[in-house]
Amino acid sequence: MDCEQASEIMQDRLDGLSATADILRLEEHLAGCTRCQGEWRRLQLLDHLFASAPMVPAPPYLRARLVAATEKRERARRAALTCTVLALGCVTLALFLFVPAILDLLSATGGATAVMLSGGLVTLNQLLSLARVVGRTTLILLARLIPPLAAPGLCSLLVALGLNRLLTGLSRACKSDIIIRRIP
Amino acid sequence: MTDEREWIRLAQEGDQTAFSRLVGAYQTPVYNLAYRMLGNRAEAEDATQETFLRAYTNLRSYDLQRPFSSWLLSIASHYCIDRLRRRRITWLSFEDEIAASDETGDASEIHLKGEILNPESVVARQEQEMQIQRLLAALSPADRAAITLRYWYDYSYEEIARTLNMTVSAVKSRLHRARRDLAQMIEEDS
Repeated sequence: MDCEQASEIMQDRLDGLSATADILRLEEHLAGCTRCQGEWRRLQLLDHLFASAPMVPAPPYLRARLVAATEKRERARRAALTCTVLALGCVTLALFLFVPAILDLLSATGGATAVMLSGGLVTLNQLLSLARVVGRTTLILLARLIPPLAAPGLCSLLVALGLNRLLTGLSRACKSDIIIRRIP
Repeated sequence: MTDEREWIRLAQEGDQTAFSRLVGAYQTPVYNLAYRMLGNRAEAEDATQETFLRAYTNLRSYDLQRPFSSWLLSIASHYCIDRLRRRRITWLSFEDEIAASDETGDASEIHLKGEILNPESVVARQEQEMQIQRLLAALSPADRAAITLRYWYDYSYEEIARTLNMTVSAVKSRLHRARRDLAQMIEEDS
């Protein structure tokens, strides 16, 4: 057995993985090799140092901090989910409300007819023409719809935000109560 | 163990109380790993918190066939390894870490776990802890993780390999090299 093989067996022995025959061969080698004796002594010292060190306990306040952080994450997730649902609802509502108005305006400005009669969007001129119509329609929409819809829209947004805040607050209050009762 | 599986199942369904029980059961193993890897209490607390938040977020993807401790320690190890790699940019010297530890009482917290030690033993334990942390700090993040899992969690090569996403031979080679280096350091110290 050479020193390299001896070193491997020393490591395996520390991990309790060496066979009896290997241990005997190692002992034989160690008896005649001062270099390996030194390495074996150092490895045993290290092994004892680490194996005798206890696990560092978590500080007593950590559990409350961890649970609170998890609760906060859960609240944030639910708030994000609520906002996404609200936003999707608003977009859907807006589509239902505005699509007929947009179609009406398109036909009023001649855009829809122009597109239909041309047999589809084929040429660049037709695309430019459509872009002009859409642009004009958008301007008309903004001019006609925003002033009457601004007040109710703003009110709806405020009500939605208020409700969201109220529900989140209620949920937080209930959960805080649960956390306090849960942790001794 | 049956209780633990039940807690995990309930936590996967969104039960916060069940998750809180898992936190109670595993906070010390996770904290110890983070402390051994990062070397100071404040960072270990942050790492423990991040580990549990990641576990909470990904709990639905946890496979019940795998030991929960192994899954959790895997998250903690990877987080600590990443954190240590990032730390190289704003590197803190070990002397600074020790000074910070002394200020926050890191070394003195070790003997609080139900042991009554006389002052000499406390000093000896503190010196032992400082020596261990200094030795660990000399290792690469992955070697540090492997040594920590081997000594404080009694993990086999296979378990370390699964936890750190390495091959068994890579774990064996890392452990052997790390131990040889550390043994050399002990010799130089003495």
